[in-house]
Amino acid sequence: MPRLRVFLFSAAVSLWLSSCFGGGPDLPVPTEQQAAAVQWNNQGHAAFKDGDYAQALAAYRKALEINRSTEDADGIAMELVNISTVYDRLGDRANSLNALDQILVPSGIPIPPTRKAEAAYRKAVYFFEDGDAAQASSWSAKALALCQGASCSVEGRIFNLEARMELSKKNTAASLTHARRALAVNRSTGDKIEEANSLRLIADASFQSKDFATAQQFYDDAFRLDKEAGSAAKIALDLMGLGRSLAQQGRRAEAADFFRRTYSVSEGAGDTKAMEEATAEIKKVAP
Amino acid sequence: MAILQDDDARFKGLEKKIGIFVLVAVVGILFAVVSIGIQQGVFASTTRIYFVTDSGQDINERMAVQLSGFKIGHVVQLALTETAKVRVTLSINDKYMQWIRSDSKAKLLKEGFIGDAVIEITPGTDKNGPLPEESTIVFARDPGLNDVVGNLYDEVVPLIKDLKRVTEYIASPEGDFRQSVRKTNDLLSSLPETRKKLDAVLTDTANQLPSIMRSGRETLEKSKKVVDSVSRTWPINKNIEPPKAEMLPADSYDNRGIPARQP
Repeated sequence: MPRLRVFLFSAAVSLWLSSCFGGGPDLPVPTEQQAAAVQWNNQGHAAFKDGDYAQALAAYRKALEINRSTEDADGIAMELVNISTVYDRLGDRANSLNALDQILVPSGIPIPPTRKAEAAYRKAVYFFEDGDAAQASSWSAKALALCQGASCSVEGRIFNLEARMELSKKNTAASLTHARRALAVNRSTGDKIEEANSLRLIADASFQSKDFATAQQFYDDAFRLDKEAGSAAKIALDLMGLGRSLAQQGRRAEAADFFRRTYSVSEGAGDTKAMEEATAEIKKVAP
Repeated sequence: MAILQDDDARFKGLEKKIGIFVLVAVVGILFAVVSIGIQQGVFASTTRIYFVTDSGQDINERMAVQLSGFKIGHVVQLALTETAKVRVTLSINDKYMQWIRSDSKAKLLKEGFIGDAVIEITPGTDKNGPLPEESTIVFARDPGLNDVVGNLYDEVVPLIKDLKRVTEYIASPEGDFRQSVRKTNDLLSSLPETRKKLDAVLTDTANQLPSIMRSGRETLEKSKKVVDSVSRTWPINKNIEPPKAEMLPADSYDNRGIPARQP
């Protein structure tokens, strides 16, 4: 009994001492302004997720105002990117690009190069979506240049975008090179979503160069990662790629199975276009 | 002795005149009879068809037979069969027989609700052509006023009985309805008193509300401070992820959802 008392007393003293002097560093306490900016940012995300883009825009603007008032360069860049994304969803390309330009054009505020690289990358994506390959390529190159020497989380995405751009120009070899570089970067940063994108791009490029066995293998690898991420549209793309690769190798029965799975996944996601494509492929391989 | 003198000029040719007058009168009468006969269809060629019904009630000889509202013939004969049914023979003007086929149906109906009864024949569609002489068609009898009233009576009487039962139930002093009304009245009469009490409670609460809210806010702020300081203390702070601002992601494969596409 006395031993137990001694043990309990020692444990209590140790706990008190450790709480007073020991342990790791305390968390940095955010200022009231920073906390408010974070709150507006989170409200913006919630509204964006609900598809309430007007509300999201208002919230991100509030966060931007607060960040400007405290000259939080990182916060300013982040909110401008968010505002650009909302304008993109609203179909307002001019304002979308304008928000990104505010990050890229020197204004005296020391925006970190990684944020500038992010802005340049997003400009490249918008131009690529709009079919302006020259501008997309130019901004992609600028994004890569801004990434040099900085720990840049966007680097893997830039290489993936480069691979997509080359694939659209039917430059299969260049596309494969960029996709493989992207794969290496994304694996090192642990970005599983972008890693799956790299794998799918390698598969797409292999398919385009008629290397159907390799395409099948990489679609399968991408499929496993996309399934973990739970992205229905990408799962459908991977299954469709698997089916097409098998069909090209003459394995029509297996291909038909994958097309049927594509149809099922697309039906669950409500993607009628993908359902139609799957139906067309099923007809092609039907005996 | 002659009463009138034969040489009176007014009687000359009298017999001849009378003879012409009688002849003209007879011809006129014959013409009128023939005209009426033609008008009545006496000389028109007809076809006889018949139907058999359980009862000859409301069916008479000379009764009109119609098709789409036009008279096309009449009933010529009613006769009892060996099975005590009534065989009704119709005479139909030949020029209307083209519409009477084997699938035509005869029915007895009233012109208006209480007017004369007529036999109405529906036009047939059978491709085998008009019916030959002495053919049979199907007969149906429309419900008369008695039938309609009888059916209405059967429907209405149970309703009246139910209504009576419900009225008796409502009127019963020991019934649920009367008791519910009595209780509702009691409740309503006690409402003013309840409202007075409620007003007093609300007034009292309204006076105390600002101080309650103030102390509540103070307590909340103090609790927040305690929770903040505890959450920053090691090792608790290791397990709490502080909220931080985030950037909306941008997928490199597609910016807004992936459309399926040809590789």
